[in-house]
Amino acid sequence: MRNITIILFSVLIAFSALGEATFPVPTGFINDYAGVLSAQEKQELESISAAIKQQTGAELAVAIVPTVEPLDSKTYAVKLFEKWKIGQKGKDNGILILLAMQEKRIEIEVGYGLEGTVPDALAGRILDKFAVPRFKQGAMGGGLVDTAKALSQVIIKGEVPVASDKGKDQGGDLGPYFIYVIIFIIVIGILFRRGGSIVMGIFGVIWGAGMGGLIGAILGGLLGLFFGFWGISLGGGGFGGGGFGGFGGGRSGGGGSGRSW
Amino acid sequence: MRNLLIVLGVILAIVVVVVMFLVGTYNGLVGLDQGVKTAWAQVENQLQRRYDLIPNLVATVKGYAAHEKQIFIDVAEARAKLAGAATVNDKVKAANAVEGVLGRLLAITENYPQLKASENFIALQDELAGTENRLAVERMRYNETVQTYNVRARSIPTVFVVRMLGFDGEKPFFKVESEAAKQAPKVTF
Repeated sequence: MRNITIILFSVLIAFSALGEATFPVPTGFINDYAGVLSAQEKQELESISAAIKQQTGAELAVAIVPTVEPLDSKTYAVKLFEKWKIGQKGKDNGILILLAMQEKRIEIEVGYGLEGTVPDALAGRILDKFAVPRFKQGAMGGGLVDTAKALSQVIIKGEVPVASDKGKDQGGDLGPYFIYVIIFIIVIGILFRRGGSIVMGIFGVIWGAGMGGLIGAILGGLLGLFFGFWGISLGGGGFGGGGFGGFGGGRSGGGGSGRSW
Repeated sequence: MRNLLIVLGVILAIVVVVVMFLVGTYNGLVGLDQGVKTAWAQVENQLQRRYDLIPNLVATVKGYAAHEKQIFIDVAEARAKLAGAATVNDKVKAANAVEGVLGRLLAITENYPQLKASENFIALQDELAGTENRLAVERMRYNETVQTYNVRARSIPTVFVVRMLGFDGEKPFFKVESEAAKQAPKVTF
């Protein structure tokens, strides 16, 4: 399958050499025309794109091409964006990550509507921190996933991601939280002991909370199942039975940033 | 009597055809004219963006290369000229001049490795590169709309009535002067 796309792309290139550059047709949010991504990496990128689309409506597209000849990578990114119309019509909230393998170049092209959320300097910083170092080690897929994750953080939460040592802040936050929970349980246990000892009261609270949680989980699961089926049937309609319906009709104007690796 | 009716009928038919032609041409030109104006507004947005970016850039470079006085004077002058330009042609000329001096400014920064490594400067360079890219895109789109307009306005029979209807006979392109293009700020990473 991968070989076929490469062959198709080569044919496309051959034709484009005759006249102007031609552009490939998108088959989804993630388009790997150079056979760079593993199945798992592609899956990961797809789910990042899907999450952004679901939570904000914005469309994150990835295109990996063998080469952008005869254009330069930025012009190619602008034209490809124009062709694919990434982002919702009127909102122009699309974003394209382009990798040109031969040119060793990555471009982030930002739709008009996301220029405020993802300013050029931020796009450049994300590339410096998440893409370029990994690419230099040859970890194309990993760098791309990290870059997409950082962008999704910005788009969904408006947070500026910093290259941090992972897990450090999680451990720091959980400690005090647990202590509060334990103090809360003890206090409730003391207040509600009915004749029994304080210890029994505390056990009572924990047991009660556990049962409450169990019932909640079962109810939540049933609800989720119901709405899940509903959601899937809706989603199927939108995608026309598994095929890719194309992007929403967004526009861009050269915003974003690029780096060589 | 009958001949008179025929003559009147022919005249009426001609008048109707001419009026329909004029209305059609007018409406077509309105659309194209608006397209050019919208595209130009986008170009101006980006010129403004670059204009606003220059003081930051100059301040940052000055922090490391204060003695390069001439270039700062040139940048300030070119920027002031851009602010003073009124017509499309003047603005194009002024914008090209700004592009030229910015190119020289960036060439100078090459001699200051500490400046080039500073995070503030990298961010500014990203913004500048983005602005130049945006300007290039909007310039291209503007020129495309001008092209469409000019082809329409200058072909027969529109060319005979275009001025009578109150439209420009031709719109100016945004040409990048070869001089400026040679010195264009090549912001690459």
